[in-house]
Parts: sequence; C-alpha cells; structure tokens
Amino acid sequence: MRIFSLAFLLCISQPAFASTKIIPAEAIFDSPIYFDASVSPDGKHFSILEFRDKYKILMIVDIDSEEQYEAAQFHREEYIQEYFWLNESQIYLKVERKSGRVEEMIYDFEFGVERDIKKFRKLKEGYLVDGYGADPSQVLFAHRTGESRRIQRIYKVAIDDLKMGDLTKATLLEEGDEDTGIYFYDEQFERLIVSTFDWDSDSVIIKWRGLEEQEWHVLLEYKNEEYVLAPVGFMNATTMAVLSNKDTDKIALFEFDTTTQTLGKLLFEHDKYDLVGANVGADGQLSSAHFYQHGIYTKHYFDNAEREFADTLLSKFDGRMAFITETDSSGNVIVVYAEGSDHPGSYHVYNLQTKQSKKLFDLHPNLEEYQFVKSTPIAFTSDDGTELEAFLTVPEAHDRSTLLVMPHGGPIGIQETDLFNQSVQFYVNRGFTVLRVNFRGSAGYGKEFQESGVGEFGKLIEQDISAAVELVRAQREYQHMCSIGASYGGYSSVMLAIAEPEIYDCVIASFGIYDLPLLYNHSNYRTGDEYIEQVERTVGQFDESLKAQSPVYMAEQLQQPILLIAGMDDEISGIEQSNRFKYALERAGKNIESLFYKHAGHGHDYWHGDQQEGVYTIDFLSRTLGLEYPHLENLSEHDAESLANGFVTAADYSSFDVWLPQDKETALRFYQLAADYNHPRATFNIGSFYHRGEVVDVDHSKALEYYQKSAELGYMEAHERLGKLYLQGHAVDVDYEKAQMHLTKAWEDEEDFDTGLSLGELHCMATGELRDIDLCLDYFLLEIDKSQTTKQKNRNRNTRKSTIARALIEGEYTQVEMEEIQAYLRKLYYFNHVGFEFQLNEQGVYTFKESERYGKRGEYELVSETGATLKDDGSKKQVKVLFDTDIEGIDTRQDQVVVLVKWTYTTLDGQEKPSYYTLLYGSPVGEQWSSYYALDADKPGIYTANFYDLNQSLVHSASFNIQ
Amino acid sequence: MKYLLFIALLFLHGCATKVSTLQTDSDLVLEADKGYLLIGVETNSSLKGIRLNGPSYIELTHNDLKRGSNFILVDLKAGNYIIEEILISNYASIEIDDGEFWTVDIRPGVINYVGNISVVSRGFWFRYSEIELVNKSSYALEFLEDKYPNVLSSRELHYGGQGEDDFLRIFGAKPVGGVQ
Repeated sequence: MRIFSLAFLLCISQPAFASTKIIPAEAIFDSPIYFDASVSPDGKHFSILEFRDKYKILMIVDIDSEEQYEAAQFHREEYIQEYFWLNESQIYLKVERKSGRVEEMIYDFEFGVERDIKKFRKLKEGYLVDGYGADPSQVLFAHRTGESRRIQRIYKVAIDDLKMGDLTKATLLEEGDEDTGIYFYDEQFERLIVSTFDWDSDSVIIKWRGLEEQEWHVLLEYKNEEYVLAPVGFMNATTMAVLSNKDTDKIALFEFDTTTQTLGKLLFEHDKYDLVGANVGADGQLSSAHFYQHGIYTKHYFDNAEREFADTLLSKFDGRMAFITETDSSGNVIVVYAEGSDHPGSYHVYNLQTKQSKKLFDLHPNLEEYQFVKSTPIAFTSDDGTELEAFLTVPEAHDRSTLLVMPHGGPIGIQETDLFNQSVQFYVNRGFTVLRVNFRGSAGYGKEFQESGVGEFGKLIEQDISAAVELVRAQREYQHMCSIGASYGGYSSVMLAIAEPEIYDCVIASFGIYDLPLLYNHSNYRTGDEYIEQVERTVGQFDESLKAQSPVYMAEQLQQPILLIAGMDDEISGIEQSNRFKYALERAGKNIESLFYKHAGHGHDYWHGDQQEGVYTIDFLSRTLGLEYPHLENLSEHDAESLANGFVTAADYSSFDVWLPQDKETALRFYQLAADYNHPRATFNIGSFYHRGEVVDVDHSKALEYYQKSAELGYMEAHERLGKLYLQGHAVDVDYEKAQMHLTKAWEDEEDFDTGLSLGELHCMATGELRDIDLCLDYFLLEIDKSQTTKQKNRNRNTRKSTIARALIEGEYTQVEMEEIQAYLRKLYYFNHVGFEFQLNEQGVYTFKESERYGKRGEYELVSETGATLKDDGSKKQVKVLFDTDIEGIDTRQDQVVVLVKWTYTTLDGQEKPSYYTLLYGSPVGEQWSSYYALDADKPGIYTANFYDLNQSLVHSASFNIQ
Repeated sequence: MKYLLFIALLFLHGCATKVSTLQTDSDLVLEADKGYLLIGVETNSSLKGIRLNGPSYIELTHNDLKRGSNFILVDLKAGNYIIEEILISNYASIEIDDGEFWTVDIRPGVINYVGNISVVSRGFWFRYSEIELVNKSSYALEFLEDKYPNVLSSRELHYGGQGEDDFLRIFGAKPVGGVQ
C-alpha cells in the first residue's frame, strides 16, 4: 500500500566524533548504491534497487531473516521510472530502455526462486492507474491509443490478463481526449481523478467522477497565478485540504470547497515558515503539517496519538530526519528513510506492534566508515530587523582555520536545509568551515521574505550574508576566508569579495552570472516579453544601473585571486556570462584561473566532473592560501590513497583534451602531487613527461627512475614500458635480460596482446639463450580477442604489423630462420612472392584541400616532392610515398607480396625519434600502394621512409626536409 | 512581358550572392554604405549554407559552415537583414518564419557582430534541428583579437543582434584600456 502523505520529520542533536578519515572524492561524489525502497502488502518483504557494476538489480529482502534475493537485473543505463507491489506475489515495473522506449512489466515473484528475465510480460502501451487497491487481483490500466498514442482508455482488468496483453475481458471505464493528463484513483472516496489543461483559460483543471457514474466534477481549477494552491487530501466528499498562500503571507493549510472553488477555513499556519506538506488521514482527519524549521523538516501534529508515535520513532533514528515512505496494507510495517546533515541516508523498517526498527540499507554503504559533521543552525537579525537563519559546519579534524562563505543559487525561491550536502561535507572533511545563509529571497519564510530579495543582487542579499559572516567571525577568528558558490552563488561570491576585500582572501565562482544586462538579451528567443517577465521576477526591471552591480564591469575592483568555473553547454547561465567575466578579469590583469568544462551544463552530468572540481578547488584554496597538504609519513595508507586518487582524477582531466582543454602543466602538477603519495600510475605518468620532454626537458634518467619506482609500486604498465625500452634500446642501452624480466612480469599479471608481441620481438631479436624463433613466432601469432570492439581489434592488428615489421627490418636472421619466419607469416598475411620490384609513382609533402563542392570529400594534394615549410594554418599535412609493386612475369590478382616500411623522424637539431614501422600486404594488381606519416606543424625535421622486402632488402628510400 | 518579369524576379530572388569570410587580416576600403558582418556559427553537422536577405541577398557557403564553431567576417551593404534560411544539407533546409527574432542590424563603416547561430541537428530516421541566435560577444571579440587584429584596430565594434548590449562598445573601444 502506498502512502500519499508527506513524511514525518524528527530530530535530536548528534554526538561529536573523535577522529576523521579523509573521504575519497570518488566516494562522496557518487550516486547512492541503494535507492527506491518499498514493502510488500503483507509486510514480509522489503524491495530496493541496487547499482552493481554495469547493472541495476531489484533486490528483495525477507524482513525477518534478512535473507536477500536478487529478483531482476537491468542494465545500469536503463531507468526504472517506477515500481511497486501489486500484491504479495506480483511487482509492477516501468522501465525506460536504453533506446528510450518505455516498457511496463509485471513480475511474478516467489522469494528465492530464480526467474528468467524473459518471464516478464511486456504490456500493451499504457500505464497502471495509481492508487487502485480495492481488489488485489485487478488493476486499473490506462491504455494509450490513437495515432499519436495520446488517447487514453481506462480499463478495469485482471492482472493475469493484463500481463498477457489481453484486454478483451476488461471493463472499459473511461475514454479521455488528447488533452487529458495522467489518471489517478482516490481509494478513500472511490473516485477516478484526472487533470486536464484548458487552453482557453490557460488553467489546469483537476476533475473527478465515481467509477460508476459518467459525469465529471471539477475538484480544483488552478491558473499559474502569483500564489500557491496545492491539494493535500480529502476531508470529505466535497472538501479538500490544500496548501495555499493566496490570502496569507506564509503557505498555510486551508479547507477548500470543491463546489464553489474557494478557500475556506484556515486550518494551520506557522508564524515563521511556509508549509511544505501536510497529511490527512484515511478518515479525513488532519494528521500533521510540515515545514522546515532551522533547515530541519519538522512536523506539527494535530493528533496526540500521532505525536506519541512520532516520539517513539524519534528515538530509533539517532534524531535524524526520518521520513515514512510506505507502509504495508495493515499499516503495522513501516518503511522509514532517515537522513541528516551528517548522514547520507539509510532505509529502515519499523514494526508498530513490536516497536522494533531494523536498518536494512545505507544508501552509500561505501561512506559508512566515514564521519560526517552535523551543521549548527544560526538564527540572527539583520540591521533592519529581518530575522534570518544560517548553517555553520565546522570540521572536527584537520582544521585549516579557513571559513568558506557559500551563498546558494537561485537566489529567489531556493532554500538551504539541514539535509546531507555532499559538497559541504567534502570541504569540511578537508578541514574547511562552511557557512550557508538563507538570505532574503530564499524559500520557506513566506511571500514577503521571498519577494524582498527580488532585484537585490549585490545589495540586500549580500548584506544578509555579510551579517551572518560578521556573527561567525565574532565567535571565532579565522586565518583565512574565501567565498564560494554556484549559479547565483557564483555571482554573490564575487560581489562579497569586491565589497569586503579586507576580509576575503579568494573567490571560487561556478556556473554563475556576471553581466546582469545580458540576462535580458541572451539570445533571440530569450528577448521576448514572456522571457523578460521571468527574468524580472528575479532580477527586477531592466535598468542601466544593473551594470553597476555586474562583476563584468567591476573587474578592476576584484582584488582577490579567483577560480572561475563554467560549463560550455550551460543553458541556464550561458557560457557567455563566464567568458565575459574571464575576458574582463584577464584584461584588467587579475589573478584568475578558469575551468571551462567542455561537456558540462549548469553543473556536471557525470560524477567524475564533481570529483575533479572538488579536488581542483581544494588545490586552488591550498595554493592561494599557502596551506600545505599533509606529509605522507603523517597519513594512514587509506588517507594517502584517498588524496592521491583525487589528484589523479584532476590530472587526467587536464591531461586529455576531452573534459577540459588540454593543459599538460596542470596535469603534471596533479600527477606529481599524487606521486608524492606513491600513486603507481601517477608515478609512471611523470616518467612519461620526462621521457617525452613534455612540459619539462627530456631527462631519460629521471624517466627511468619514475618508471622503475612505478614498477616497484606494482604498476604493470611500468614493467611493460621498461621492457620495451630495454628491448628497443630507447633511452637505455639494449638489455634483453632486463627486457625479459619486466615483460614477463607484465605478461604474468595480464596476458596483454601488446606485451605478448613485445615478448615475441624479444625472442626474435635477442642473442644467446633468450633467442627462440619458435617462441617468437608463437607470440606473433597470438589470437586477437574476438569480444573486443572493432576499434580495439584494428589497433591490435596494427600493433602486430608494426612489431613484426620492426623485428624483420632490425633483426639478424639466418636463411633457415628467415624461411621459418616467412612460413609462419603466411598464416597471418598471405603472400606468394618474397621479392618484388618497387615502382615509385609519386612522393612528397601533401596538404589536405577541402572540396569546393558541398558534400564532396576533399583530398590531399602534392605541394612539394622534396620538402616544405609548415604553416600552422589548421590544414592536415602528411609526407607520403605512392608506389606499385611488380613481380617477375605477368602480375595477376593471385600474386601477393609483403612490403615492410620504416619511417624515421630526425629533429632539426639531430635528435632521432623512435621510428614508426608498418607492414603492407596485397596484390601488385589493382590500386596503387601508399605509406604516409602525418605531420605536426610544431615538428620540423627530416622525415625518411625506407621500404624493404621480406629478405630485408632495401627497395626504396625517400627523405623529406620539413622546415 | 509580365511573365518574363515575374520569372526574372524569381530568378533574382533565388540567386543569393555567395560570400566567404575575409581571407586576410587587412582592413578593406569599404564603400560608404557598407559595413562588416561578423557572425558565429555553432553546428553539430556541416551546413550547406545560410541566407541573409536585406539591402543585398547573400549566402554564407559550406566552406565556412563546417561542423564545430566558426566565425565569419564579410563586408556587405548596411541596413537591416533577416536571416532567412538555413540550408542544412542538399535535401533539407529551415525557412525562418519568425523573422522578427532573426533580424540583425548592419551599420556602415563598423564591425557588426550579430550573434552566433546555433544549429543542433538530432535524430536519424526523423531528423530535426534546433536553431537559436545566441549573443556571444566576448567570443567574437576574442576571435577578432586573435585572427583579425588589424581590422579590429581600424574599426569600431557594434552589437547588431537582438536586444541591446554594451559589452562590445565598452570592451571593443579603442584604445585598449579601462572600462568606461
């Protein structure tokens, strides 16, 4: 049985904790593992969804024994829009497939009995009408029909018929039109309810009718006016309880006469807070009214028995906010969701008869080992006497004596609460104190309070925040203070720092707005009257004076270092806002760092974005404020790993040109921070920087040192890299023993295709005991994993060609060995001629030229046969050799040859870079052969191509001088 | 004769002058009634053309409308223009029917930035495109500073897109200096 009422809320104070582990960014910025709990109608089973690897699992738990049963499995990317118990043995699910198609299913459930997913029955298109529980064997089903599937027919149908898609025996109750919304069933008064939109009056009309009658009656008509009117429940057949602020400043609980469509008696109004919910019992009696008091979801009871029950419940959940989400049909078994500022959420069952509660799942079991901090509510009064509330969250360990002032977004109609806040807890865990303020304009304190924030950008709103800051600073002295916020909070953070440069040391502004006039002309479709009206409801009337409150035009005044964060796809603030501010700050010569994410909107779509942003922000604070990271020797293994993993996430973001513009210097800095905590991959990557000479000067001895350390830390790619270096003599002298040791370690860890090929090359190239042509060829013939993607397979095929070409061109073989190799190679690349005549057709430097005709592909055009000066004009360039192969006698398609190619690149100062090898095979008849080397504008030098046959004879050589 | 005239008018209307972005950073000697049009294009698929109708009838061509982001700087007769049609491909185009949202203002003798046309095409079997003219003045200014510093130093900047915006007037003002 589903409960439609909103939740209970209870709270008591929390004890302080003694010690604090460093929470990994990837643990706190993540989705809950468990979510969407429910209970069977008989109260015996509890169901919940679980993220596990690539899957989403529907878990069912026997409440008494706590035995778990995996009922159904879906792909992680499939979205389970809704599920609920129809009766003790059947569960209804509504699933959005990866394709976007929505399917509804009924799952026949028998605890502990394995069911095949195919046993789900796909229903005809439609949905179950919510709330019908009169007969557990029947449901109300809305069948969507008509060309656009917008006509709804409501049937009463047996579940067993419905799951077979059979509506022939069902009773048709109602046929809606294209404007009808979703149907509901009111079990209390046995009525069908539906909402429709009336285009003439621009109103939403909620209507009802009894199952057996035909006439519809208006329940509530609501136009999008300047007030709230939200139904709560039925008090009798014609009277509803509603939440409204039509006639009051605060959202209050009223009677509503459905026949006259007028508000009636005021039932309950809080003197300070808007109501956010209420509960009406099945008998039509008021049960409770709900509101956020000091950020805590609080309930006012109308009934003593309810209050006593709440008190009992209160004692079971450590005083955290406890929400009843569902009960069984008897009302005795209750599902409770508990959450608090220091608790990321857990599901419990509570038995009303035994008064026992049992915790079944933490939403984030991987956070269970960490200590979170409870926020302290602060009540204060502004200079003009307005009562305000704020929340202070103070670290219990690693205190950095730094206050982060964090204005919320909006700013109108948003409210800070005492629920769990990932960002706040992350910063607090890293030693920062966080202050949040419900300034004027925030939701929850009535119309007047909310409207008093309109147009107060950079004025009253920031004065309210500053009043809270003053209060907090009077209680304790902080060595540093920064402002940090997102959306409106980004704007506010900047304005606070400009207003009080003497107390703020830095600013972190994310996804914000910085040019207020731009809000009125962001785009052609956002300049119309309707849009402007919306903007004015928050910012006020357009006025030239808005510039005076816009950071873009005040950039000169910002004295503090700023980290500016934005999403390139931000449809709410618009990236132009952040880019304008960045431009203005840079032009004013200010100290600015920016993170403009390529695939983020008004926030991140993926958790790794939040993780990277969190780690980068901490690093910005540390660098700006001169705060040191803890030394490795002072940290537990766990804490060092937590910090290191975060640094690597940040480094990866800057290393690849995917989520952020590539910034190798930042990448190196973060890899170095992680390497300082012995992170194996970060250590390896630093070796690569020294090896390639990226950001730092080429230093092979340092590169080897880092590779060696990474290998000692157990990173297998370091073993593979060292093995290849010793094998090919890059950066070190050739040493086949060392190569074999490293490559074997990597191979034993994971039989990776690349490593196997290198081992093959080793046994072909080595002298002495390690030389083993048979073993070499066995490795060369390794099978490519068929389960790999086409891209991976092609990559492996190319790596094999390259490795074999290198081994054949550079190795020394006896005639017997070469014949054996050639015999093996025929298994991979069919050829029947070893020698051939090389016939050059054309060679030189080529530039890609777009076609003048739309839709026609461009092509590479020869610009010089010997060399060229590169221009960084954005066009693709390559050096290329086009040729034919000719065998003795008449060539036919049955004739096949193999050509080995080696490209070398020598820089202008004479440094020879690692060569590129490949192997070509095919028939002399047909299209001409070619081999090319793509040119980078910043890599001038001599490029040489050498072509060989399978007898290692050089058949052609060409050099190109690129300036 | 009437028929001939009608056909001739149709022909004239159908033939927009194809224009390409300025190839070098050299300020042109503009006739008194001409100004520069600076328009950005952000598209997730290469477009065939964009037609603007006003004192002259021009078509921005596919060479400047490749997938990704790009700015196009061309000179044309001053006056009000309507971005009239976006040619998505050989087979599909969007004819703008709410021209009041797509009217831009080209003033003589100055660089007129009118906005970035965003074209996001979706779907495979049923393909559709979302279009919007977005004000990205700061990106336009950065583009000019990077690619056309000489032209920029010779001309004033004017925002000729929808709504009013002072950013280019303030930050594009010469000599480079503080905000007024």
